[in-house]
Amino acid sequence: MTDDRPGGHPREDERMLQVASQMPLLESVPADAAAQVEDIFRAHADFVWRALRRQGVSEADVEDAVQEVFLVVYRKVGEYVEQGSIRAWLFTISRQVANHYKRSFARRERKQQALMEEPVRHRDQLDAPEVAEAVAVVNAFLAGLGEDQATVFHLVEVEGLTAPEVAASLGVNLNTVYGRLRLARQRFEQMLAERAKQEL
Amino acid sequence: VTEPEMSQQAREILKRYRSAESLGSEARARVLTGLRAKIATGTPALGATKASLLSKVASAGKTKLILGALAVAVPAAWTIHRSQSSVDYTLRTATPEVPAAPAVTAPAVAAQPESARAPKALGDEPYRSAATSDVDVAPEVAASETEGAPSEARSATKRSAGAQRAQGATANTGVTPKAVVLEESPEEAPAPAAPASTLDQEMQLLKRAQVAQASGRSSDALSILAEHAKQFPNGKLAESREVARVIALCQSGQTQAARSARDRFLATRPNSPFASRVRSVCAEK
Repeated sequence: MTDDRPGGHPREDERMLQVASQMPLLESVPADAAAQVEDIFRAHADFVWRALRRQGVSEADVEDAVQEVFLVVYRKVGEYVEQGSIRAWLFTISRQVANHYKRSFARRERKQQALMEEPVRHRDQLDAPEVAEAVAVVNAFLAGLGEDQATVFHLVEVEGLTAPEVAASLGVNLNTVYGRLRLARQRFEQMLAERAKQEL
Repeated sequence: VTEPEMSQQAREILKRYRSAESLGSEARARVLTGLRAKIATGTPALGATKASLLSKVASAGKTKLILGALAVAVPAAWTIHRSQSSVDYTLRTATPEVPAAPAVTAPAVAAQPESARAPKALGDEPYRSAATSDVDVAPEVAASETEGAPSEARSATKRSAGAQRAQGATANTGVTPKAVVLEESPEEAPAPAAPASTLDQEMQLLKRAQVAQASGRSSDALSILAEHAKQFPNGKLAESREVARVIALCQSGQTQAARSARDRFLATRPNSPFASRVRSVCAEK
């Protein structure tokens, strides 16, 4: 008798049912959400990667964090309001995920371990010297800049967002964005000029 | 506005930087595969994130504790790190992005009634602001359910079970949602200010069905689902609706109807991510 009841006694079934009944709607995301997410991923994975790195997510964690961002996208893609900029929206999510990563204990520990080991390289090709230099220069520059200016500079000059998009994403006045951008640009040019002098 | 353009050299460097700072194609494939797997198996997106954020909302004290410990942990991690990024970390810890936080949350929650309340919550505790914006789905449910029957409160508890687990104590007490509600309270009515898109409307119907179902009112759930079927026969959430319908039918005791709905679902959508779940509904002994 019990053989043909894989779930054991009926109570088990009832419980399963109860659990099941609560779940599907929890996942009530658009039917094509998965496809949408993949499209967004293809178009913006690098953007998200950089946003996370800029927000301080370590190289060891960044892959996980990228995945987490897109899981949030999957969940919320139905709520996304079309009129905004998708990148501004992604940036907002990335920031939240990055904050989570920075605060998470377990991950922090894991990261420390990972750092002890060989640093993870995600890039396919070895960077050419001038590219490696560019990375070093820009990272150093952004690190030395105040957070506000660095964020604006990164979003506009590296990612190509428009100033109004940045203003919307950060929730600051458009003129503030232009102001920060101008200062950051000046500083960047200054730094390059100084570097050029040193090299002579 | 014509901003002074950057020099040729500056633009070139930024271009190189951008090309190098990216997900390599291998990592890209890995992430995409993992993403697909998680989506297909219905792994609750945000499981961990939401859990810890929720617990943070519920207990601000804890947040401080975590941050305090981080202050120790970060420099430690960073000394091992390579030179430039290390500066990065310190800076960031010293100034945890306070100024931008409030408005950043706005676009994400724009479609939701809570957005009006966001700035208020931000005033006292910057970290919480990040949290509130991200928790928007779960507490919303919690808020609408706490004012109802205790059984509803319990289901809310269950739903955010992950969060409660992270929090440790108080899990099954039905009191816990209140802690969340403190932050999320003002509105119960799911009436977004923004003009609702069809998808929003669909979502709302299904949410209502979900609430009815979770509180044991299967027949209410079924009529809401029928309403959805009438308004959006081929809506974006049609699949979710059918899943919900199969389950609601089964729970309301209409076993025969549930089974035929189930079989129809499985026949028409054999590759649905919900297929395995649907298969187990009202399973023949």
